[in-house]
Amino acid sequence: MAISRALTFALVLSLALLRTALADSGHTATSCQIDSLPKTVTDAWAALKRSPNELEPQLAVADALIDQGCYKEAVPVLEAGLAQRPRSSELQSRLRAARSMLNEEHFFEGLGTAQEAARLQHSVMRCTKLADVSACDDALHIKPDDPQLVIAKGDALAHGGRPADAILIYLRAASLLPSDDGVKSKLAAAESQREALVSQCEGNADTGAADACQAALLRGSQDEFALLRRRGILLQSLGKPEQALDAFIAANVLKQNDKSVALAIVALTDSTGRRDAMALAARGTSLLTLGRATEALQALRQAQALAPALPKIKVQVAQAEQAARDEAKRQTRTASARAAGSNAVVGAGGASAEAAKSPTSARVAASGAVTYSNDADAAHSN
Amino acid sequence: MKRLVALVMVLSLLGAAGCTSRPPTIAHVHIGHAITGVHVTPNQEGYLVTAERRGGEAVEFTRVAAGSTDLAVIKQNVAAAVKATDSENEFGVKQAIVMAANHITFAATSDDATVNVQQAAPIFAAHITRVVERCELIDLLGKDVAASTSAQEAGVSVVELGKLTQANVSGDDANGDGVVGSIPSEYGLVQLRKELEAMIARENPRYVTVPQWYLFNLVRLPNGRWVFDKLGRGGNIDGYK
Repeated sequence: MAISRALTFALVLSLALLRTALADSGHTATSCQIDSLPKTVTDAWAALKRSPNELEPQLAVADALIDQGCYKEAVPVLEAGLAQRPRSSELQSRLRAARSMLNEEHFFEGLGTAQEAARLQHSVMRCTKLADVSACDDALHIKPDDPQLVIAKGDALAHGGRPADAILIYLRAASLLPSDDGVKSKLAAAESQREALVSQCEGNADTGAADACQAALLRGSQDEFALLRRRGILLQSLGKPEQALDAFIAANVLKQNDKSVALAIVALTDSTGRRDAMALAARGTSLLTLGRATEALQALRQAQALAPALPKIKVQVAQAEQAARDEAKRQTRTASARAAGSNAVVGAGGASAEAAKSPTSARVAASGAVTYSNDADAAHSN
Repeated sequence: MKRLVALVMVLSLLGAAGCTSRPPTIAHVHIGHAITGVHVTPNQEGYLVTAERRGGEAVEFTRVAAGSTDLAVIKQNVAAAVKATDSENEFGVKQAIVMAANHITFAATSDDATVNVQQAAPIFAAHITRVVERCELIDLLGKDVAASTSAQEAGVSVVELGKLTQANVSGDDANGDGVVGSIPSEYGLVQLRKELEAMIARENPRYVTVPQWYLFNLVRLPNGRWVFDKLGRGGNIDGYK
């Protein structure tokens, strides 16, 4: 009994393996390359052209095609032969075999299709009935422009408290179904839901508020930066520096000249010790915003070394280099001015010990013009 | 003369009752494997019969699952429904209907197959797809239920399982035309049986129920030809492939 069952399954398995083997060797009907057939087939065709009414060349062509897995092509050859010799058992058996293989291919294709179709239905069901967003994505991967699926994903997102994401999806649904009132009302509802979250984000100071800021985030919206900054502030106050830093980094990407964000990023990169390319780049641009160009250049160069393909990093490094040069000039100018002021005081009030050591210094201190020339020299040395 | 007439009548009756030495066609034996009996199934019933029986079991297990609020009971019955639907070792609906289609295909490729069977076999094989599709979906939903953490969560899948197992038996009305099983993509086992019975009804020479000996002793030779094992080893044959 067991052996018989094994025998039967082996038979089915052998059919499946045969199909796989044929597919692997390019022998399926669909992959039968009629233009690049081997010499055995072309020779058989040539022989058949010479003697189109002879049984042997007909069988030879059919056999050669069947050997190559070209069942679809073999069928008309055999049918033509049978039209001439309806009682030929050789033609009949080959035709039956070729048709059988074709049917078998379709059968297995059908089973394969059934599996895919079931997976799609499963994803659609989980998307529509369980608001499973990843299932929506799986289904949309197979049917990207199915408006009902797009709407279902929007519903799933809205149901999951992500109205901002839902808005984007409903907008896509609206582009697929421009006159659909249902989509419009879903869009309006999602916008209202988002407004409520924005209020919660701005008005409260708890974890729920921080989550609301995140859920209300809508790419490209006017309040995107404000929501990210607010989320960062809330998370920082809730003792979640890593997440706060992420929020501030995201805000910094949108707007790089905000001093409060820049200060937060510098403080949080210090306290968290984060030194990945993204954090370093954000720290660099923040330091630039805060006018600490030399430190900014250092951070940006580190970021560039870690991730040379980081967006805008080359430009940022170049900006920082320029700013560092300017900073150095300013520092030199300031130092010179201080020195000049100090010497002037010394000159007026009596000789200091240091000035007394250097006749040049004493000379510089005595002349404002020389002070400017020193500045110039310093600038050139840079 | 009366004796002669009586003899002819007796012989006719014996013939009609199957007391004839003429074996069935190979094609008809394969058809018999699908609808009457085959030695490999649990009850030595035909593959389609197995599919119908297992389909009914799946419906029943799902019904019990749907009627329970105990997650453990739900999971247990859904697992049983999935096993009745898709189990290689215990002939689930999927395995049984695929085997039925295979044997109808074997029938069509037999040397003695009628044109009727040759034409109907690929159609039948194509029409089982929806049942197979539902089996696959039942499998996936079964996994969802197995992973559920509450009866409520499992409930959504169980409702779907109920529809699918029932549709596998009796078909569905996916296109909403008010007729269950009006198109092949709505077919269940009921419609597939009707299709097979229609094919059998068209057979000429007429199909008669194949005796068990023939059903259990059809073997395939290494050269691919089907023959009856005269030693009657019930398909349990070494040396034959």
